Amino acid sequence: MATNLNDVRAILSDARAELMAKPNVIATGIGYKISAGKQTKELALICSVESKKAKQALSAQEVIPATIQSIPTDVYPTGVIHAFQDPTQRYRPAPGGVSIGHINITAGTLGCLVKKNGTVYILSNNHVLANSNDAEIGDPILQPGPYDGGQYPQDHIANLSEFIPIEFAGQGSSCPIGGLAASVLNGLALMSGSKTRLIPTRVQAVDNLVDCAIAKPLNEFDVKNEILGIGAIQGVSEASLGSEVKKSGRTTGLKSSFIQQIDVTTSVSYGSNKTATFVDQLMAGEMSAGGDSGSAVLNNRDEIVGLLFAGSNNTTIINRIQNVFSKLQVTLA
Amino acid sequence: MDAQLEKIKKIRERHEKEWFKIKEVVAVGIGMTDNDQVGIVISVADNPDKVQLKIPSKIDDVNIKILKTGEIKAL
Repeated sequence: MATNLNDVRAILSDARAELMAKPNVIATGIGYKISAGKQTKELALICSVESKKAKQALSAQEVIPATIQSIPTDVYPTGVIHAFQDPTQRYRPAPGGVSIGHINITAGTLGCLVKKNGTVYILSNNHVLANSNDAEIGDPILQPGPYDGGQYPQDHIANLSEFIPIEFAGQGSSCPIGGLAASVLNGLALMSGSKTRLIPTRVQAVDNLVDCAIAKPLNEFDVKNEILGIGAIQGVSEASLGSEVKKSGRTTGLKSSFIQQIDVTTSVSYGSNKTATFVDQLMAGEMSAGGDSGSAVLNNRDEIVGLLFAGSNNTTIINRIQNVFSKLQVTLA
Repeated sequence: MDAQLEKIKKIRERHEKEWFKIKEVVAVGIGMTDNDQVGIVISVADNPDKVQLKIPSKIDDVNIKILKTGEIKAL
């Protein structure tokens, strides 16, 4: 019986092609045999499989023999093996979870692909794709985002198509009564020679439901309908209190947490003394950092439940995906 | 449970505006509180003890929990 490593290597070299041809086997190697949950000192040929299946469910040809040339085999369920991929890099096609941003911002995360009237769009936050209301429709979107080295025109992946404006507290008001009153009084001020004018300003915060926007890819083949490190989205669902959620984001990658609060009203800082109030939000624990905004939030069945957009050191704030889809009138691609 | 949730929502609706007048308050939501009971969770940027003095720990038998989260920022 071959017990030294070189002999086992030679045996594996002969058997590798046959083992890799079996369905479900994704890797082969040499390791110590595990018996009754404990590592023994006996060398074995290790076959890694996506998931372990009962012998009865496999045909005779599919079963991995217990020994090959007297060397024992062992089967490890490792799941699908992904190469480590840096989400701040340039991707073509670009999946969800990677760096993206409007040409004038730093960087956020590409959420996922959505459809509107049969056309595919990239979904992320307003403050990622539309520069917090300051963008023009048609503006270039870069992948990776400018902070990660994305440059125009070589990294231009999409154009801003639509965004839901964020109503900031204390910003100019579009109220017709306020506007009329201000114009009448400003007319009087002009006639009296005064150089002071009135600007109608909203004093009470208006509630927001979403921080979201969509961008149309220049080429449909430049985007990929899956999430980095997760795979395809399996549908749409509601998150409930205590349920586990995960996201793949530009800064902290794949992280999971639990829904700690529902029906959340929160005041969110957008920097430069700009704050906005959001209602009907979900709050999860620590699973994000700056740059993760726009990430799709999925449950443990890989169904989308939300769009990540804000947080603190120990919390993550998420738009309910039902509100996002309804405001933008989109569906999952 | 649904009746209890409705009760919690009503209490929160009634008081949310006054809670947001406290400058440390950054969020109000429905979540787990003491003794694994669903109640109202008030998140504060800082000074949870100071805020606790201004908000009762129960209203109509619904627990109110103060949680320090820090400022909530767009990411």
